[in-house]
Amino acid sequence: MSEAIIAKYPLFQRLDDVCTIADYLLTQGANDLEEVTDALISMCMTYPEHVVETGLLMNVEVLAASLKPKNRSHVHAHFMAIQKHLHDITDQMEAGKPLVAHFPSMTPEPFIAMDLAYMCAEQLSLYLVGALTDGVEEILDASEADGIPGHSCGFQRAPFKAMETGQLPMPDMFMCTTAPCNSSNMLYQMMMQRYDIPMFVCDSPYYWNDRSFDYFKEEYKRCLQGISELTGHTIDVDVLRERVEMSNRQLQYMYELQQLRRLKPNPDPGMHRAMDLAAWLMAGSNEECITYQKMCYDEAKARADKGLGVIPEGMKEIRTLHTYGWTAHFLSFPDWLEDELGSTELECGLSIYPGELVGLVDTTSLDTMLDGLAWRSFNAVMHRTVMTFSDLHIQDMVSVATEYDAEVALFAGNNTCKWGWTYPKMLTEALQDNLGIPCLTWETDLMDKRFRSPEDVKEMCREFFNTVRMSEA
Amino acid sequence: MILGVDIGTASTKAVLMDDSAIAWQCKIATNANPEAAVAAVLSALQAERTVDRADLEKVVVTGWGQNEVADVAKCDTVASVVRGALWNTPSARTVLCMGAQESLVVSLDPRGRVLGYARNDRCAAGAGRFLEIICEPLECSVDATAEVASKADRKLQLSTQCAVFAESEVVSLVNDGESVANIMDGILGTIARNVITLCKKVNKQEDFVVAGGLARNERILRTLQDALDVRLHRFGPEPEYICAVGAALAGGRS
Amino acid sequence: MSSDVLTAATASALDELLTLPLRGDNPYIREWKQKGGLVVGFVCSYVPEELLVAHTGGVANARILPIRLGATGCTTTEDADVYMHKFICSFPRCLLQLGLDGEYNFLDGLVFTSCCEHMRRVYEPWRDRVGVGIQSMISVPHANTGDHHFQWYYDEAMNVLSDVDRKYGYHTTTQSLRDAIKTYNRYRELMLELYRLRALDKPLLTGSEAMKIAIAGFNMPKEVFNDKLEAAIAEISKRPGIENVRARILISGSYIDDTNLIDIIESTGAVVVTDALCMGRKHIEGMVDESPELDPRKAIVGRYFNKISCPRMIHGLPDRLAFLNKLIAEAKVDGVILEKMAFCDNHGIENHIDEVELEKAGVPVLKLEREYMATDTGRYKTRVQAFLEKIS
Repeated sequence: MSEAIIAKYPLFQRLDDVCTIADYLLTQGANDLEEVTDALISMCMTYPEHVVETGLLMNVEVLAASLKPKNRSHVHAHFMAIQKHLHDITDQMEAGKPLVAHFPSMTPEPFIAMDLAYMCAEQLSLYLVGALTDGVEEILDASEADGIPGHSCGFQRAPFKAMETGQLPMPDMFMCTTAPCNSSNMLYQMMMQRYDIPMFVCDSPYYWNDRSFDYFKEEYKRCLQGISELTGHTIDVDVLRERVEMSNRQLQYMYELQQLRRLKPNPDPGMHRAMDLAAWLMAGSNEECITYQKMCYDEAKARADKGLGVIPEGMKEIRTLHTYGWTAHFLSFPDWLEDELGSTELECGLSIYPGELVGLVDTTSLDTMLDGLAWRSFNAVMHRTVMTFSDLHIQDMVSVATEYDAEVALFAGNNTCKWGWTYPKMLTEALQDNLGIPCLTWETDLMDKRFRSPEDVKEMCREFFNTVRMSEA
Repeated sequence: MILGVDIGTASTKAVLMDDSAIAWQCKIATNANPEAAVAAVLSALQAERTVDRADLEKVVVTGWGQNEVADVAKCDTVASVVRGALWNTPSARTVLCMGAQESLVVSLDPRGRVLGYARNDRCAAGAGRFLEIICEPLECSVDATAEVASKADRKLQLSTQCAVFAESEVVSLVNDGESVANIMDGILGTIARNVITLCKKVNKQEDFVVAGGLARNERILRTLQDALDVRLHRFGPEPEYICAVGAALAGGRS
Repeated sequence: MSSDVLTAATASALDELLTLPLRGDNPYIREWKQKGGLVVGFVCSYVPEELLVAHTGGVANARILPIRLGATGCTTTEDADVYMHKFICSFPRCLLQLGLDGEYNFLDGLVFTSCCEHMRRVYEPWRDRVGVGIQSMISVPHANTGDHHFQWYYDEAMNVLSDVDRKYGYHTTTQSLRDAIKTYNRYRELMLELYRLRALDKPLLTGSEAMKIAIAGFNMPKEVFNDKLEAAIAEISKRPGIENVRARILISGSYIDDTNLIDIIESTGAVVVTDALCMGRKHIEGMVDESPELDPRKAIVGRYFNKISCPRMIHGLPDRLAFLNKLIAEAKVDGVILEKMAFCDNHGIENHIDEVELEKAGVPVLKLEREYMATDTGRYKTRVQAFLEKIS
């Protein structure tokens, strides 16, 4: 790892600190928050000040949830994976490799095979929103003060502002897809124009079918070709193969885990789903990601073999479909739902990745690998169902609801998400009116906890689940 | 006898239910202090009916402030609204409760079970508090708004998007010399339209019960009636008490 | 098409264009329908209209009249809001409302594009709750830098024609295509002439008049409009011109199709001498290449592909900034008003970028937030007046 690079960029440093703390707490036997406090105090003795300062800002609820037996091992494994990922990135940067920043709709194997430094800035900032109490509100406010509308999604606003203020490195080039939305496309344009940074754009066509995939696939390959020409780095096919084999292994575990969620009781806890997306974004970058995903699978399988679930004993399971996604500033929400209300998470719109549809990448040749990676990207979250008619997402949700036997559906819609707020009525009709699955819909902000507090969400959910129970009685 | 207390963001409403009849009721300002509001209600009950806490089978609290109060049974707002509506209209299939800060619509099946519900809680433009705020520059009491609006001679197009925009529009209109009647009519229209959309989001059917403070407003009721094309039953005798009645009857959970 | 019948009652072509009723009250739409013609609505400048107009017609010469949808006169969105939340732009919600109200029942077809997240989503509720003979979607590429982008867009345009064909039949000839191109190029030339007259030292017409004329152009057959516009230009050319213009304003941003905001601006003594609006200058800038060796269909689609872009075009920002600067110089603009619809990300961020660049160049800028429905005049007035005081 490059300490110098990490120290240079505050958000890198904070993320590294979070990983260090997670490692310490989850391996030092801290079992509850009291023990955490003791552990943090003892960290003062041996760790730099900035680590302890970050520790004091940790989201207590997320921490408490992470310490639980059902979560702790794989949460630890995940933070080891992201820390390794971060260290690898900074090593590449120190070695002077060009840095490509890519949108969260593609996996990084090609960049690794081109021996580039790479990062997904959106992914990195999400960790900070999730793990730390001071999140990115200050960055969002600064962005709005600059003149960028507050209704533009914080998902890019935060990391781009962080780049502008030196909290994250300014990349040498961008690679993005034109899914998911106008906000994303406009902010990438702004960065391109303001800082004269080349941008490689994969145009996302407005359908999900063979013809549109053929178009997208060529866009994807063209972009990689463009990056290669710009940097003078070409794809090492052997390295690509090695990395794709790694990501295939990782995703295989993810796919097997999806099958387990169909069981009753659901043996897979919900808190790690946001981390699954993050792991997808790191797929192929290190073995630790595979370890993480395997651990999630192994733990769920062990429970499934014994007929165990993830809710307190004696509680009735309420199988829950999250039809929008997770909320970055409230990562402990699925865990709270499990332990307080018996609500188990089936799938969520921001982590769903249909294994039976996407499959594994054929590693036979460079062509088959690029085609396979393009197919992966085409089916990513914020890609597959966003850049097409809303019927596709609704049908996905109906299919999952039916297949996994969903009993309720929660829609925590990001208020700045124009995609999200154009179909809830159709969704409610499909799930509630047609299938009798009660739906709760609310507005939140993915990144900014001031919009709707976690306490408010808990109140609403308590009321909703009570109402559901009463109706069933 | 069970005391039902609905702690709203603006006002706290309480009813003493004796079997299924309202034996006493009271309404006071919450003043952002739910515990104190409940205490004040109990004091008033003692003073006006010489009924002590000990005489009560239960105290059931509902509404926004319910979590701040100790040693009482609690009842979700949705459950209170539903129970109150069914007390008023046993055949109720849809309930609309228009509060100071939010509106809630609940859809019921023929057996009174909840099929679905939705709230307008992020938008002030459809809430009672908004009307209070607007009344200030117009120098009108909330109770008089419908009467004032009835004298409107021109349809004004006011923003339905945002309470902040609407408020600034009102100030501009006042400065331009527009009549208070026309402005008030426009504002009531804005509030009504926001509520109408909410009702249409939740499949609305007869019998349709309307409650909450804004249900006193004839202008809003008429707009709702016309737009929703269902017969409205206003919760009675006074529409703000729906949750308090419902909470008492539901009994709550400790 | 007998245009005489419809103008006979009006004093002048200019007056008719300035007061043309819309939708069901529009006499041209009514006449077209009475004669068995098809009316196809569209909502975006990336729909290649010439391709629709080139259809040689069915029985009784039933040809296609493309009209650009607007929602002027919408007073509530209480039904549309059920399907599209308040965080969505008010223009598509108003359009959907009018659709639900039956105001667009005369349409035989409706062509959407994937232009923006808000507008594209009118498609589903319109399909399910309103209905129309054919309902198409053009997936417009977000980039216009490559042949592959062009090919995709071209195929998409052809798909729309297949949709038309499936229900109504569709046939063109080289001649009908060339005639359509000629008509639309003439339309663009005449409109450019109008922009020239707006930008004279003493403007010959107001921004409000220009907007009304542009909207009229979207609501009648282009051949008829061209004749009327030519006559109107002749009338306008006789005017002495507006003197003592307090300030020369360029307006840009989200779609506008009524004069509410422009009237407020011009009530201060300023004149909106030009614009960079998608249904204004950007709609008519750029001709179809009439070179005989070109395939006319490709030439038509090529013009739309290459034209000055919408903010959604991801590599188009430098050109759009250059275009803005060109308009400012051409019309000797004193100040720029950048308006956006509430929740519009495209123009919200583009306006921000424009403002930064313009201020660097010393051009005064006012940014305004608005809703589609014409309300809230007080708020606009205050801000516009303050801006005018600053620059004049």
